[in-house]
Amino acid sequence: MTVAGTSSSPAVKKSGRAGPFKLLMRNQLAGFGLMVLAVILLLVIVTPWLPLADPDITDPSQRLLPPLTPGYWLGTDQLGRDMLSRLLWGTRVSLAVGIVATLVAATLGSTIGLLAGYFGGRVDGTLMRGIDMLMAFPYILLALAIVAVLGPGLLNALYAIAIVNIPFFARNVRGVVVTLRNREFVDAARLSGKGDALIVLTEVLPNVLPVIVITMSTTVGWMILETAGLSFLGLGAQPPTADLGSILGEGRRLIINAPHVATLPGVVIFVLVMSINLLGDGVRDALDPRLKAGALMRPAARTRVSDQARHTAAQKQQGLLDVVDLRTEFHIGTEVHKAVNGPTFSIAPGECLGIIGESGSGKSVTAMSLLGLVASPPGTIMAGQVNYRQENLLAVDDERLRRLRGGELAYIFQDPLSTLHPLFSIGDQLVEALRAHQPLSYRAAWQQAVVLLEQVRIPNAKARAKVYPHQLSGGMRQRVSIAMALANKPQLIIADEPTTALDVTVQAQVLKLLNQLRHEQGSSLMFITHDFGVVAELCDRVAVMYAGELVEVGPVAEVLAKPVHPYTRRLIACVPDVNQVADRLTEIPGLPPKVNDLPPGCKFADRCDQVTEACRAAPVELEALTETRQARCIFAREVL
Amino acid sequence: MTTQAKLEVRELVKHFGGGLTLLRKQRPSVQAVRGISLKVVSGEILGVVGESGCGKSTLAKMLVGLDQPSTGTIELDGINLKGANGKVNLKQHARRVQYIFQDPISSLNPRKTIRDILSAPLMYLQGLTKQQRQQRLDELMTQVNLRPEFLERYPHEFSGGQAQRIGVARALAAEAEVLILDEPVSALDVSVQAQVLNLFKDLRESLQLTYVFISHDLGVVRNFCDRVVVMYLGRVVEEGPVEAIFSQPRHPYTQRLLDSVPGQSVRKLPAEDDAVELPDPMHPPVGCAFAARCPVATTECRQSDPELETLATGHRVACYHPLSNSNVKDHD
Repeated sequence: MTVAGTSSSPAVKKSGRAGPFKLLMRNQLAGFGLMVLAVILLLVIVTPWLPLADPDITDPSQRLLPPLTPGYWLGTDQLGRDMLSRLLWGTRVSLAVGIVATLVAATLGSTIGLLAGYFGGRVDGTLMRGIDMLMAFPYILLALAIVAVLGPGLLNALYAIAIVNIPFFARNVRGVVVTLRNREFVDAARLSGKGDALIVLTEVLPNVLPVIVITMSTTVGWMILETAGLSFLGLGAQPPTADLGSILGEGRRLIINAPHVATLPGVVIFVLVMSINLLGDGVRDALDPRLKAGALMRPAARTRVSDQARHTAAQKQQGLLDVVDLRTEFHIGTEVHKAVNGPTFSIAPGECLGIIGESGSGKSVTAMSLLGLVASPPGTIMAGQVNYRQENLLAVDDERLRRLRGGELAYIFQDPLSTLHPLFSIGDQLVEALRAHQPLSYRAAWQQAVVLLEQVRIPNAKARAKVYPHQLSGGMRQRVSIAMALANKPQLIIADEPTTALDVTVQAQVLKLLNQLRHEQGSSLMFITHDFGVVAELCDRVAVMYAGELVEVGPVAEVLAKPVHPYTRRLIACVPDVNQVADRLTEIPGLPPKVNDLPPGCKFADRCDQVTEACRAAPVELEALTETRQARCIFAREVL
Repeated sequence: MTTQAKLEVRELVKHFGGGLTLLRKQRPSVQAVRGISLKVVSGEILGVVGESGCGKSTLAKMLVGLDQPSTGTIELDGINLKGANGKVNLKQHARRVQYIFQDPISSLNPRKTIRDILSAPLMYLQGLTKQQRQQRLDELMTQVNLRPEFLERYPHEFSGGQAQRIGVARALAAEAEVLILDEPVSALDVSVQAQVLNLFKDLRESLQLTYVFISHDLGVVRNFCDRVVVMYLGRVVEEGPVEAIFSQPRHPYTQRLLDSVPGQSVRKLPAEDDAVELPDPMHPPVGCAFAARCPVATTECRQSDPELETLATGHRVACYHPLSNSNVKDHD
């Protein structure tokens, strides 16, 4: 009964990915920013206890002393006040105002964003139009107007700056909340009896916090600068209180005679804002999930292939495509995920090979490795050969691979909406596919595109060539992807779950079409799926994958009628049959092994009901049982 | 099985969009559900099948109170969901009808532990004290075959099947009598799918639950449900006991669905023309919505929409020319 209980060890394994702080420190500029800021913060915090002159005590006899004068390290200003002391106290004020203004803006702006995003409709319209109005004024003008109304003073300047920055928070937060509001966990919370207020505070807010922190870290520097600006104009800090802006403003008049009075606060503002911005950018990069997922990393044009695999010459060719001991791994942080663990198979000309497996079995990575489509980093092909017509595709140069991709070797993906370009008509996209491989004029290519659309049975192809992907239904879009794959007379089409996203009646049509086209054009098909019905419908042979290995290979009818490997047998048994009713569905207990922690012996051993000591002791090889059938099980011969 | 209706739906209609723009122009509206009436009997599993866009998920959302019908009524044990003030008291309703989501992971808040997630219904719907909650949490985890120490973990640490068990535990925490299962296993692998389906069956036995099971997988429906409702473009086209629907479907659409299951050796209808496309839910056709794809459609079908009519006990079909064994031949 405790099915799931056995699957996971009590000790949670730490993921190999770096945490946010580690990521932050990996960014050297951010680390530098953090260090500078830490020094400044430390200095201003201990300022009251430092042996400094009072910043407000004037001494006309000591006025405008240059820096490095004994007793006055950084000199004095026009009233003889110690510059070092004034700068430190001024930085204190500037920082405090900047941070408080940021907190005020963040609180108000986030509240507006949360309410607008969560309630939508009229609330959203009213609040966001208000924000738009706030944004329509130039910020400094708005700040000036606010200070003019409230009167000059540090506190009023703080309000002005905070109000001016509310829109940044409101807009960012609203954008995130709008997507969160439609997430299922919000509905689930509602069904758990939570009211709107609780949902906003306990479900939505925790998911928005990173965005608020990111926005704060990138605006705090800006706010310090704005405060300084207002003080510089005489609207912020009023004498005798000084912040960096007002010191700068006072020094402006003396810039010729005593440049240090204006230069020093300028330098401090620069260093302070720079350090905060560097750190802020770092914080954003570390926290933003899109950047964390590697959106900034440019993937290589083809998967990285290890030296060993790159210099392997092609073995003797057997079928149209021979895959020999292919090994693809993902290196994430300190972990190695072994996704593909040495499948060996070949596809004959005109044959349809089905690759079947559950999610995480490595079937898609296998297919993508063939043409070097696995994202690198983190993917690497460690070993193996992919031999196509006496050529090892892992060893060919980039140009040759580019010619083969979409030419002799075509690919159909699962989701046509994300593979077709939304801004080009489908005709144009076919033309592009054709002209990438054939020297055709635009007009000739267009005509051929229409022929291709007719081939995939798109009604009224001539007119339909001009429409955009979003104007087509899912089934029609998948036909377009098929047309694109057929564009350059492929020898082999690799189809990765092309019908999984489709409805069952549409799936039936697309499968029928693929079958017809395969026979018309005589191309081979490698069909990846998780559905035995689809395999039965379309394929000649089937290869069953588990944990990156092939566990059984054979003609479809034979494998379905008499599966040899326990996994195949149980997998077939647990598919509910539409033609008959079973009292209780067969289940496979447990979960597939994690690919970063594979057992040494049979990978299915933990879930197998026939497991013995021998199964776990050593790796089990894929064994040829008859001329056409292979299986990776030590009991295979007894079964067959 | 008693024939007392647990949930009864009458003339349910839901359209999205519509209304007028600022310039008084008519906005386009999508008619997701176009007049559905059905009963769910206490203790049964009612399957709702149909393809994407047929309105089955909208129906599910309305049954659980997350969406409000445009017109029509939903009754639970004979009492209208809408109270005297015309609003659904979701908190009261959620104690009796709960929902299982299609995507188990995204229905769990990524920033909350399983304990927090499961405590919410215990706190807000059941009003349990801290000690009572602890005891109930342990019970719930045992009921869905998860180890109690999983309570302290976050959703991303679970596989799809485990996450779906947590979703089930959350629904059970509310002590609901009816569960609306919206494609609860379609995001799961087949080997895990069976684990979850068997869990549902066991829970129904032990807790006397009633299920509405929304699915597009006919194999699962046949093996899991007692009765089936087939939907097409926001309407019920056929309804009946699971055996009758699968062994002798009367509506051509039901037959088409069965024929489309990949790997079928016998197909009853001629293969569908490549040119057919689904009707536009913004402008549903006047007559039978399936007429354009139907091999037996006549002019009558295109002019008026057939009503559901009873053919045999409990077997109803909305078709002027229901299939019988005589007018379907075997095609392969």
